[in-house]
Amino acid sequence: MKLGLSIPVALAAVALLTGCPQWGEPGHPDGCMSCHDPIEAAHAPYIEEGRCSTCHGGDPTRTLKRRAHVLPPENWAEIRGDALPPSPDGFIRDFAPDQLDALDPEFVRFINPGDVRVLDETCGTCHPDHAETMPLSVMATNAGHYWPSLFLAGLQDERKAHFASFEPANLPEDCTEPGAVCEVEVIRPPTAAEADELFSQNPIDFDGLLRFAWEHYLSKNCNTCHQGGFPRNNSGGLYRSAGCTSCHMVYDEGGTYQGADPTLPRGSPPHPKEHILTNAIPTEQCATCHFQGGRIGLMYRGIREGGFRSADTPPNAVAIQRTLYGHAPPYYYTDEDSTNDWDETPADVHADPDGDGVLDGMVCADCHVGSDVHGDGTMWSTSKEQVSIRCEDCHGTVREPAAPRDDGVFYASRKDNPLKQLSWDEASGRVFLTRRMDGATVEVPQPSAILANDEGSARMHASMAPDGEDWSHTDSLTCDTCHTPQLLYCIGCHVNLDMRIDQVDYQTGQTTPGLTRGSRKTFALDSLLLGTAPDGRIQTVHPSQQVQMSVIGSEDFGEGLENEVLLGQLQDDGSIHGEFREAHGFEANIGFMPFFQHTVQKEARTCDHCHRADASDEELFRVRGVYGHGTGEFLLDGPDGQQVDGLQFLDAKGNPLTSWVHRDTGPVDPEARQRALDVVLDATR
Amino acid sequence: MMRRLLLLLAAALPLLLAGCKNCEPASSPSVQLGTGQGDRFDVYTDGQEVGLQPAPQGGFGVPVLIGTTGLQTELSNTADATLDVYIGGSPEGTFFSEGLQLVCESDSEGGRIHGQVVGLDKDKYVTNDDLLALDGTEVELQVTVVDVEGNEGAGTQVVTIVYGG
Repeated sequence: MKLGLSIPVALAAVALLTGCPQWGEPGHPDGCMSCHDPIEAAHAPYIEEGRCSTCHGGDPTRTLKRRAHVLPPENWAEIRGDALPPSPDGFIRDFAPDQLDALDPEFVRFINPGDVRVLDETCGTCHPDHAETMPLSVMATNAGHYWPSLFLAGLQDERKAHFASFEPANLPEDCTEPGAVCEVEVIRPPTAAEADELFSQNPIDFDGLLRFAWEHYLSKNCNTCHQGGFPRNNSGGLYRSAGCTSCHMVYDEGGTYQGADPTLPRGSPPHPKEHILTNAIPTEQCATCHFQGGRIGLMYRGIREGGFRSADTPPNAVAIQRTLYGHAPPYYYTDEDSTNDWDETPADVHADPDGDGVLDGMVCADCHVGSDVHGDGTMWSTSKEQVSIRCEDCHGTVREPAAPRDDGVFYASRKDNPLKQLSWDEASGRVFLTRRMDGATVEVPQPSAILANDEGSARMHASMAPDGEDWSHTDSLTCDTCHTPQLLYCIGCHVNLDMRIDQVDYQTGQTTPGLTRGSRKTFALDSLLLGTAPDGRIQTVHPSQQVQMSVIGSEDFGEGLENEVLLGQLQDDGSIHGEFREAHGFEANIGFMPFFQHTVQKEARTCDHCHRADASDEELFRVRGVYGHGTGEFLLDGPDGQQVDGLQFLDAKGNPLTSWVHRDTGPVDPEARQRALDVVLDATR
Repeated sequence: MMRRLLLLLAAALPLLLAGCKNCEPASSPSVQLGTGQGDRFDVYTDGQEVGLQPAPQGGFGVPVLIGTTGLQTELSNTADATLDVYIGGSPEGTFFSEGLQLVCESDSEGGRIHGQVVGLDKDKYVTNDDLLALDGTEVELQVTVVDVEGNEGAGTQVVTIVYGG
């Protein structure tokens, strides 16, 4: 205690002298401090130290726990149900969104003042703008996870969100911009009654079965990673809070409290590392969600995912030997081959600037600030529409350095999102970034200055400097196309809905019939694909949830359905080949999307990744593969014996073979594609 | 009434003062497996039914909470744990974890290692049918925890896998 006297002792002294207790009265701390002192001041100096009730509610004038606390509501046990693990009375830190919705908001606030349901009473009283926009953001709604799959499956025609994990209380009125929506529907798995109705049909309606399977899959697999609800909070790396405190209250990997409150159990997650709200949010906090999907939370740190089979793991890989993100070790790897002296998948250069394996550089929150994370008041359908930061916002272009506007502030140009972490020296034009975690100010390299000063490699000048016609590769390619040399993505995604097995649904928190599980066919680390990004430039492309769906029936839903493969085809070896998505005129709509992998390296790809190194037919075939003509390396087996190339989105003549999820994306423009293919590099480059 | 209460308190005082000290190294450390969220720890009973839990991005495992007594549980220290899985006496997987937080829950309760998942042989249990064949099967989980000072505790628990409707 800074005053050299603990608050309880001081208050006791005051009480003895004056003859009356002072807890919770103006100028005095809340009664909570009689037990919780010397807990960290969560939001000093903005909230007076010891004023717990400002955020948590409760009765600040009382010191008895049962009087001071907001007690668990009588229906807590009923709401918790029996699907979640046994817990202490009143435990809600693994509640699904529907369960949180059903609770008394005062109790939700007491446990987690950052919850989106109570923001108007808590964070929003000082941060009204954030409280208005955050619930509409894609991190709160999770809207971007549902419609792409449904669109590719032909179950919706529009490229915009319909489903979400969380429905904001205050919906926006303006949704005129492409991708903006004014309402969303919370996705839940089909009910038992809906299952009965579907499976009682003879024959079962195919389209109905397809929708049933997809909605089941999406609702049971995608609902723990959004700010509207808690995660499972049951495994290393998965511990976090919900709402604003999802990000601003930092949890460590084990979810244990390491602060000074004598009442909080040290050994029992989930608790924040300290009771402090912060903007210094480590990458690990973001990775509690972003370890999956595009896996940027892993790859940014130089961690790659292993596989479900031993054969997926390189023989000399270096594993993280801890249970992480729900997987028993070994599952995640930091080095693919310990017998050589380089790392095949190093951390992003922003995270590890000097390449020594120590992540002492930038964190996610050094780039993604403001509306990137808090939203901008529009309910967007995908993060591609919400996130505005571009490499050029900090690094400038090859022609001009980054510079502040007339008000002295740098902005993310796409959305006028202020980048207050940037500063500059006007005289020299040098740009600096102040890091969140350590407060260090580092210079941001400006390619225009490097080129103008005749610094950098010959390859940099050849590829980036404007040529005689004032054209630069950077006019046609996003920076990450060349500067993200390793890409980790799944190819082929087998999703199975098995009605014989029950599963907890993390939207309702209840156990319902039907277990969905996904498993990839394989994955790639270095297979480059190029397509068109929304800004019209070329960017690296990932396969996008190349789902093959299968459904197995159960006798619980009708005689003769037990073990029946209702969707997909049982193979002689006992495996099931799921149905490809057939939609938009394509027989196997496997899906692709431009994607920034967050594995930036200073050293860019060499030219021969995208251009022919020689004039041989083999080299032409290889480079055509980069532009989507297929590689023949990763073949997906269809239910009827057909094979689909998992990296092919163009036929031999350049016609599309699959639809693309995101607006204004697709294969590289035919003319640019041909121009790139026509280049045969000379041996010296 | 008050006198009786005082007598009870006086009798209990030496015990309270001595404490159980389950969070400090002892000559005979013990390890138990169980389940629970927050500070609740329900020790598995022999043959207790335990569901297989799907992991994010695929895969399955048995979630376990490890409780220890007689091991070093300072927050700044870590422990290593080995979990061996046996089905019908045959080994079905060994999972070694290092650098785990082994934290004192309380002197009476001992230390805890939270959030562990015991896997199954991932080359053998691939499909739902492979896993359904395990429904009702007794699985022996052997766990060994070594604290930062090299003290070793071990325990064995038989649970019954539940996988199905």
